[in-house]
Amino acid sequence: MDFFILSALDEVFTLPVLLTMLVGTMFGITAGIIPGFTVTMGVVLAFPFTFGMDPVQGIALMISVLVGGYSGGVVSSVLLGIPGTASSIATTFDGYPLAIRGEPGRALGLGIISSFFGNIIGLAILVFLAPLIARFSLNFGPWEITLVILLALGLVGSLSHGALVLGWISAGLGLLVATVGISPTGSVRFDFGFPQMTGGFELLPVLVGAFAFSQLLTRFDKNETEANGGVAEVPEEVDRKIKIPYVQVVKDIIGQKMNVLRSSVIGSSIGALPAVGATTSTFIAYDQARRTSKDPESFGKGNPRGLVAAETSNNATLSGVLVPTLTLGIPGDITMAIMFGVLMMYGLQPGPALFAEQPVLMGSIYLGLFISGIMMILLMLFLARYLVKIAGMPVWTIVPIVLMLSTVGTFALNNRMFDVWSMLAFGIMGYYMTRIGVPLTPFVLGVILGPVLELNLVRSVELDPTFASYVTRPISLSILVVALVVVLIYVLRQRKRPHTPQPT
Amino acid sequence: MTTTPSNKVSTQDRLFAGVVVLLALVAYWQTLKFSAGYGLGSVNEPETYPRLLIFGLVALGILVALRPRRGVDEDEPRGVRAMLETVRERHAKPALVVALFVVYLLLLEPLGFVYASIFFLLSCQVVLMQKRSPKALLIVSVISVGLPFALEYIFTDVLRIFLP
Repeated sequence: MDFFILSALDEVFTLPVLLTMLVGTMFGITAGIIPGFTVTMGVVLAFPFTFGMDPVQGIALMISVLVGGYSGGVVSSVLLGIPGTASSIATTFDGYPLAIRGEPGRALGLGIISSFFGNIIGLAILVFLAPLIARFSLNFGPWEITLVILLALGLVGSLSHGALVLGWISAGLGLLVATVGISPTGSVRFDFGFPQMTGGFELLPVLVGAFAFSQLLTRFDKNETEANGGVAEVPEEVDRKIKIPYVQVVKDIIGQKMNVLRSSVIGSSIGALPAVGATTSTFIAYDQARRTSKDPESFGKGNPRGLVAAETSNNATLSGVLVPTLTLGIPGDITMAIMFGVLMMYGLQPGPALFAEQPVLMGSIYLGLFISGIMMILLMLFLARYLVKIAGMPVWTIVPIVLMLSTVGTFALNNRMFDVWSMLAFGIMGYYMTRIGVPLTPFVLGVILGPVLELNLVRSVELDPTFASYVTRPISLSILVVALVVVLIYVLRQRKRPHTPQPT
Repeated sequence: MTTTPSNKVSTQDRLFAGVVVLLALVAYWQTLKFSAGYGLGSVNEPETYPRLLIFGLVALGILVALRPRRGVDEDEPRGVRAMLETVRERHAKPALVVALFVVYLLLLEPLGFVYASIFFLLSCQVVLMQKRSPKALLIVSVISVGLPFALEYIFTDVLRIFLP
């Protein structure tokens, strides 16, 4: 353990890597601040720059963008009352009222320091938990891997805004797209006579198209800043001379040790569940803080506890989503899907073997999270009052820039236009699916996990054509039972629920 | 936000289910053309796994199509004219962006990254911007010209990555 951390220190503590992380953290914060820009867009924009970097530097860039992105949302949530990212919605509940009550500096300071603690406690959980899960999952044979993937896809489908069957269809379509190209037995499938398709679709163009491209197009439907000519500004009620009262903020945080710890554990645990994500974890942490408070009525009116709970759990979620991505090779959300693609671009297969084969890289990820956290807190504490101006960047400027950079990224992958056209095709498909309420996350996970699922399914049948091993192996049977119970619970819950909110 | 009864479907859901079933049938037809691999038995043949998925998709598609249609939804347009109006309102700007993006991709190879990107950034921003003030147009022009040159320098000279 010590040796790989020391080796990782050597790799990370170089000027190019530290500078890359500084730029990445700053860029992530910017992405988080701009309402509707999202962390995912930040990651999509950053990934082309990793092509010219070595693995440690490239992954450090992605990690720093993620850390900055998860944290940046607090600025627009507190000062504008507009969540910079979906996971910052709960931050607005008490952050914004605290700001308009005349304490914008305290609200901002609390949000930033809570983000930092969420990041660090989440990292501690990751460092402790990830090797244990990875070591345990080394016992997995093809039966267990097949079932874990099916469980993840079933869960994702079930958790998709209540659109259970549509979520499963989306996953199925993703799995089918993943079959394009050469099969595990060496045959070419679904090439439709195009030589470029014999190798299948590259992962990143599909991810960027299906998610980023389609989300950019949906940005034209409604955006919160439209009423102001496409520009968000700090409202009159908020004192623009923001000064963070450091002593009071530190006292506030010390007085909320349990809240910080509980919210971090909630963030990390919920984050580890595929597709649940930071938005859910922040709401749960916020609710728990309210329930355990002596003054629950003050929540929503500027109670610092609500703000601390939401921001701590938001940042702890990042470490949570890294757990299944790194230990099982199952990306927890879309940002992790892109991270997964970047790792694969470097020839690294996320999963338990990564810990054994690439210990220095794992150490670099841990250090990257830690250093980015420190960079984030320093950058935000000193620059937050200026950074809020970035939130005014209009959608009509963001969209073409992101599209252009997505083109650069997908082209540079293989130096071929086919990947760019694929991105466009999957973008249009993703836009259509989003428009009619079909969840995209199961599709993306299906594309990523499809090849691994097929390979392990084939292996399992080759080793035991009777399928009996699925129920005779203890771990496999346990996963099967969990999968069936979880899916059954969701099906029953959905049948009982009369009306399910569904975003249009 | 609209509220959707979870066990009922909309016309759009049914349309989507129809498209999925159609796609699945096309995919099935394609599996008939697969050449044999080196699998050990019928389960490991190249068409087996895709066909499993295809059957699953058809079954789920039929399940959606057979569900009871939900009641009148205030968000769902009634009548052809209303539907066309909704389509125009909702999809006009995204369609415009896609059209400009297609032109951009077509121009990338003949014009090169820098000039094609200047055209795309400039046209896209001018078309989409809400208030065309001289100041905003100046900022847009600076971004549209400066950014492609900056990216060309970063990717080609610093990162040694070829651009179209």
